[in-house]
Amino acid sequence: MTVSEEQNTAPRSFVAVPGRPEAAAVAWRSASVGGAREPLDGRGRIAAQTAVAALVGASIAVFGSRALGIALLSIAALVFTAAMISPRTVSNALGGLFASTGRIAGTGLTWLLMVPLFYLFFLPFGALLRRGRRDRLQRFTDAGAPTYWEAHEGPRAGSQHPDRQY
Amino acid sequence: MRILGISCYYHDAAACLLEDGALVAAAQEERFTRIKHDQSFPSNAVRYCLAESRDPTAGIDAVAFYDKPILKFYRILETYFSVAPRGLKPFVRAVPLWLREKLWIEPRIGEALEAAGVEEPEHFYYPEHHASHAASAFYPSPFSEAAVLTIDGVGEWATATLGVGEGNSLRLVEQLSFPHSLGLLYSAFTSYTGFEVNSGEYKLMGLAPYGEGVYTQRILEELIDLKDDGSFRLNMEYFGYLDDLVMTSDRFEALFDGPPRASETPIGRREMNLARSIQEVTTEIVLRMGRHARERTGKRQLCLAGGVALNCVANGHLLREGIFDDLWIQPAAGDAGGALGAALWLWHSVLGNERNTDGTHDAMQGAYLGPEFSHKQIAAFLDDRGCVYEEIDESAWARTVAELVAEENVVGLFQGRMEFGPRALGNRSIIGDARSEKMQSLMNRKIKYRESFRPFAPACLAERVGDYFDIDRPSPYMLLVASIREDRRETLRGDEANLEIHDWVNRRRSDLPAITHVDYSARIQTVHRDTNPRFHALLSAFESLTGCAVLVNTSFNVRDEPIVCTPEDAWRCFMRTEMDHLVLGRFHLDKRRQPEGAADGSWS
Repeated sequence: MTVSEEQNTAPRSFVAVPGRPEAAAVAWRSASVGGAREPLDGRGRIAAQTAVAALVGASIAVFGSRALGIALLSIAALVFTAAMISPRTVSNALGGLFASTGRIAGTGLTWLLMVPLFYLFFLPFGALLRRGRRDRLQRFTDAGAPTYWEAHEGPRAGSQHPDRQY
Repeated sequence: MRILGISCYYHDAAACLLEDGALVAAAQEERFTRIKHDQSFPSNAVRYCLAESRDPTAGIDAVAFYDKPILKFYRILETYFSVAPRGLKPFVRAVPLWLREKLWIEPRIGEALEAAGVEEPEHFYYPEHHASHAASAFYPSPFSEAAVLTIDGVGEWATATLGVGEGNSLRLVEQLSFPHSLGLLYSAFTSYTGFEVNSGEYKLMGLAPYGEGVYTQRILEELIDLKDDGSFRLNMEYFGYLDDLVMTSDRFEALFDGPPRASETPIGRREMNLARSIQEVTTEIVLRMGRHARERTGKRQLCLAGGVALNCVANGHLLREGIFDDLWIQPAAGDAGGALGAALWLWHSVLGNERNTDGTHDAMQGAYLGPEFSHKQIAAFLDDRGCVYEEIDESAWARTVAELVAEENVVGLFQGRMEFGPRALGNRSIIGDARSEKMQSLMNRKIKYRESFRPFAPACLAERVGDYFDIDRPSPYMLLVASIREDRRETLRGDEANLEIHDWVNRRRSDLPAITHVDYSARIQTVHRDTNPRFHALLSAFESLTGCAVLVNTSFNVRDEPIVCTPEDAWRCFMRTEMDHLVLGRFHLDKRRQPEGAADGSWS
């Protein structure tokens, strides 16, 4: 056994060797850790975003509602100032705000589209199919049947094609 | 020819690579993302498999995806047609997800390959879900011909299939169809007893020996119409998975004396009895299916896959019943193995390539198909983290580790290629002395942080397994349960059922107390020199040191964390549990000598 404590005083980098299989696992780990530590170039990005917002605000102020335009310009100026002081905080806050807004809008939109689709399409056509005894789910038992095994013919006619997704 | 197999979007996403029919690499996405049972597209696993190729830049000739997505989507839509006006909640959740993501397999694969620097292939193939399972069971098996049984939750429509494998041909001949599913029935009880579906099934199986089968008859009379040949239909009035986001309905609760157990609340007699009852029903169904498979196909061997094939208690009964001369079970029997099955199906069934079998050895290479880290890489990592370690000479490695275990230490063992499938088989394992009375409790509470009732599995030298267990054949993938030999058992006092579960677990039952479950059973891994020479050497050294050829072997992770993949994962797990020693390849780390606070921070 070789005690190697003395070698530990000068840590080396844990470098994956490109082209080696295990490199994939290591590279993944390094990438995620490295990504998290990467310094943010927040100021430039937020400056660009607020410039666009200011331009939109100015256009609204000139061609549309003056009050709305000024409000938008003020928000852009506020965000710009805050970003110059602490770009990471502003960037995280903005990112979070956009993500939550997106999530809420997405959920709302999903329900808005899916509920009518379900009740206007699936409900009536489902009822029709069930009336026509074309319910694929076979939610009944048959005490007299000797077996419930079915012949395997492929899930649908023509589905045997190996290169088709159906 | 290079074939990339992929499975994802349900649970346990995985990728595998075949080169001219040889299995080069296979890995589950969860090991890289550290998200247990990760179902997302396996970009990391794909990248790893391609890197393992003989020529990583050579590209891929074909991709095989483990099911037919459009057909699966069609089944989902049919379900909503069938249950409307009920079913709005699952509809709103499932349909947008399918439209947004799950139906766009080819572009996603293209993106993943591009990210790995590989050109998208011209050919994509889509076997049925159960054809993938059947292929994963038959093609790597040692048998030239066999009956093939696949049982899981659901694929496109099939929930169980019976097939026949002969040479390179594999035909599915019969199936049971959704919603009548043994996998979903077992999952319904998993959920009802307070465990998580798709991961808690093992816990329910481990809980079963504590209970009595008081609900068995009720299940058979009310929930299921079971035929002699193992086919069945469920009474869907008791289940919620068709039209709701829950597995069971109010009627189910009324039938089984109350509401479901809330997660993390104490486990009572009712849960133990439910676990035992559903295990008895599952075993009975599997036995009947096995008899039917034998009769229908006339084959003397059986191959098994699908999530239910991970129920090693049922597997053990099937083996002991003697319906078949031999069984072979795919070690990655769940959806992860579908990636492998899809690729093998393409190679043999579609392209017509021959397979070679010898009746004894399978093609899984011990399931050691994942990433491996070189000595230099581990050294670099340890130095980078300022770890205090010793380098063990290869000739002394087995003896040194065996000595650590014999001194009742808990040792993290990280060596060689990572296992494919849910079991750790000695390369990403935590090991301990099976003779120790305190080991089970210690490992559950201080290392794994998991439920105290859960048993640990033994790893035993293959050539000595008959000395310890009532089993006459290898079980290399920990997929068979057998009993401790009669002469090693200690007599029960008879008051066990009145004890608290913790006291019951800790009562000595054999001369291998750490791995003997309350019914004297054990989930056995036989260790073979040809597939894992180092682990075999370690067990041999332990035997020569102590006279015992059995070790406790549990997966290298804590509760709800995937098994470790990299040295960093292993080290982090080691530092944040009360594990005593870590063996990373030829490096030995003693917890007492590590710098304080070395692993502060989050788990991920």
